[in-house]
Amino acid sequence: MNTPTIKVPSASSHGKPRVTEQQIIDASAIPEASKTIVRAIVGQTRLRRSERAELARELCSHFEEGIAAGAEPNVLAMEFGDPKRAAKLIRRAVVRKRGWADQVVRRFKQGMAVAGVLALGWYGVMFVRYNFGEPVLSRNYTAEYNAEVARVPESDRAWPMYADLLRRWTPYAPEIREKNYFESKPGEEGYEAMMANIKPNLPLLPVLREAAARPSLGLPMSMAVDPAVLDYQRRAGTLDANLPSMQTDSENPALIAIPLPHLGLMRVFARTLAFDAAEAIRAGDGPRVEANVRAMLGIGSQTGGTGILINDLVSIAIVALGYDTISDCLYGHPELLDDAALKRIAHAASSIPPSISAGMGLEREMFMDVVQRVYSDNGRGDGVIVNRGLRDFGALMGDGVSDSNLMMQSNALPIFGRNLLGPVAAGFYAGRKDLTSMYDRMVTNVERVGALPMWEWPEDFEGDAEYERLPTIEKQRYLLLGMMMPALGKAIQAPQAAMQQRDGVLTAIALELHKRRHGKYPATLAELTPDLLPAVLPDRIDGRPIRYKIVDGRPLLYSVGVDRIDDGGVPLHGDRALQRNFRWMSPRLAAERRASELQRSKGVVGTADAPPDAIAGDAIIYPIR
Amino acid sequence: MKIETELMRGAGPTAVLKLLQRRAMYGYEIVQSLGEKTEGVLQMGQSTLYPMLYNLEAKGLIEAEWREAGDGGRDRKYYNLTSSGRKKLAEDTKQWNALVGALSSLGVLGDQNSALEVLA
Repeated sequence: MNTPTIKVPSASSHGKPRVTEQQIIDASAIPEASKTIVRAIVGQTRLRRSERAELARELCSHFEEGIAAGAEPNVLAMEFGDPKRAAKLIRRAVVRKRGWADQVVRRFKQGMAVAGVLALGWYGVMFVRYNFGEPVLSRNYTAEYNAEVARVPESDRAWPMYADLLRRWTPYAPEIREKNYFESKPGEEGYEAMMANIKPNLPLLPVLREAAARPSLGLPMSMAVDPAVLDYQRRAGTLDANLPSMQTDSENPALIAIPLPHLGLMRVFARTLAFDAAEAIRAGDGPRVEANVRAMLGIGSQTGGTGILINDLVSIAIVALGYDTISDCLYGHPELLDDAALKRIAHAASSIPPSISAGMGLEREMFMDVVQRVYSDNGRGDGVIVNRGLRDFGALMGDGVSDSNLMMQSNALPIFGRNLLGPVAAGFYAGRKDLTSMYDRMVTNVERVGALPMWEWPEDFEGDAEYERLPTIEKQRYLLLGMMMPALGKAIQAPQAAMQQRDGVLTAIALELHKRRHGKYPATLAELTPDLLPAVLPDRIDGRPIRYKIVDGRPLLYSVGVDRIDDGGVPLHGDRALQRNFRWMSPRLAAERRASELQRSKGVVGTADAPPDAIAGDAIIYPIR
Repeated sequence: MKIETELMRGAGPTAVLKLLQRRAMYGYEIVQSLGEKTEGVLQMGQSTLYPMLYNLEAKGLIEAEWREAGDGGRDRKYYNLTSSGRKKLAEDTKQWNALVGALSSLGVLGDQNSALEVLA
């Protein structure tokens, strides 16, 4: 056998490929059958071009040596073994020879490939769960609530009377609403215009007072708004454009979507009573004052107690109108209310439940109702956000949703976007169990704190800050919670202020009764017990007795306010409104804020030019204005 | 005699290192030498040899260089033992001798010379 003498070209020079494996193989003098084997092996290695060329050169050389040594080409080919296996082993070995940078890149690519496969698998699972999962409406919260309402005897329900009144009620003139004359007092701008406006309704007040005396509102929750409300709103020019379109009632409507237009109307009724009471004070008509005060307290009581925050806040505002009227009468014309009337009013005020602090039952159910409409249900309390749920939720929440984030803007997303991105969102957002657990924990904590008097609130209580403190990514994961969670921390302070006002009114009534018996106000509130008060009522901020002093021959009752320091009854900004300086702040922060404010004001508290968020000063409980 | 794959996987690299201990060799030459010196016992196909050579190279135990052969003008890729390769061979030799000794003491082996002695 002749030795082949054709020189195989070298594969590389200075690491750069100079010739291809094809050129090398073609230039080799080995038989075609051997070339086929070399091509097969080199091709199947899927190595880099330079590596393939190097390999081709070595394998050609191998065959050349064999042939030169006298071996038969077919024997050489047979000895070579399985080309496919050879290619696989060679590839593995050559790849191992590469430098560390190549190894890093290789590992990275492998990692990415694995991650890609896992991600694809995860997406596939989520795609199925998101697009084929269905929300299960296992509870009908609205029906459950309405079943409770249905148990109230018809004779105890106030709503039918209110509805009847509405049909005959003359709405506010646009000017009254535009100029916000609702809280004007005799002698103030807008008072006379307001009185003229409510005049046609005054003959209806006896019926209104009768309705207010009923124990319950008795209004079922329904998407179908009472026609009397729609009629009134049409005449008032305040008709919510969405309300008539909601008239088709669903068998299981979402609690959160149910309109509550009666809340505004309850305030209309209460304001009318407050204005009529102011007129009664002016006219020296004590029984009318009492009747109106008790009616305001009654309407407030009927409106709240549902476990829905907004209802309770409106209830508190209505009751506050009653307290306001009592304060005005007691402070300016106490003689209008005889002892028996004062005791009846005190009894009515003290029987009003503390509203929000009693719990947020329906608020919770509203949240759980949304969850059952948005999430799938695996039967064990868990599930993921599903396509249909998002779509329904978007429709439920209307345009308000599109201001928020990502998939919650479900209506704004084109259908393909919702279908394809949805699985990612479904995987990203907190699962049903996690979401409801966190909601429950946050609400329970706020309820627990809200049930305590403010002086027992934990020093580190931060109200709504728990959600706000979450890392940004977590906030996004619990977005539904962020959207649905009311400002609980602030909300639970409202009943504390209302209770403080109630205690102020009860104390003021006791002081008046004491004066009538003894000819003068007592030196201390302790003298009111036990005959007129079972105990001295506390300042709900620090737990000590409400502060009391006589100013210009009349009693002043006050709380130490946010900063917990008694400033002798000097109100913040010279403003007597209790709410301005009656809220929660941690003792440490309050002390720091007060020190800083006093440094700026050179030790003077309650200046009118103090910053809007100032806290140095007291909160006046009585007289209210 | 055909050696089982698992045994070959352990013995093959050591055998190749031993062959290269005395002088540089190219692929075809290594295959031939292994077959001849071990009377076919450690004969391996090229599809096994080249991956093995590249693995030894990746581990830094051998290094390769192309040289022009004197007898025909052909280029050959010669493999040399590196210093790491020498150390590894020394370690492997000790281990193989220990293994052979242990197997001999159990009567598994007769009075045969160590395989590595054959390759020397």
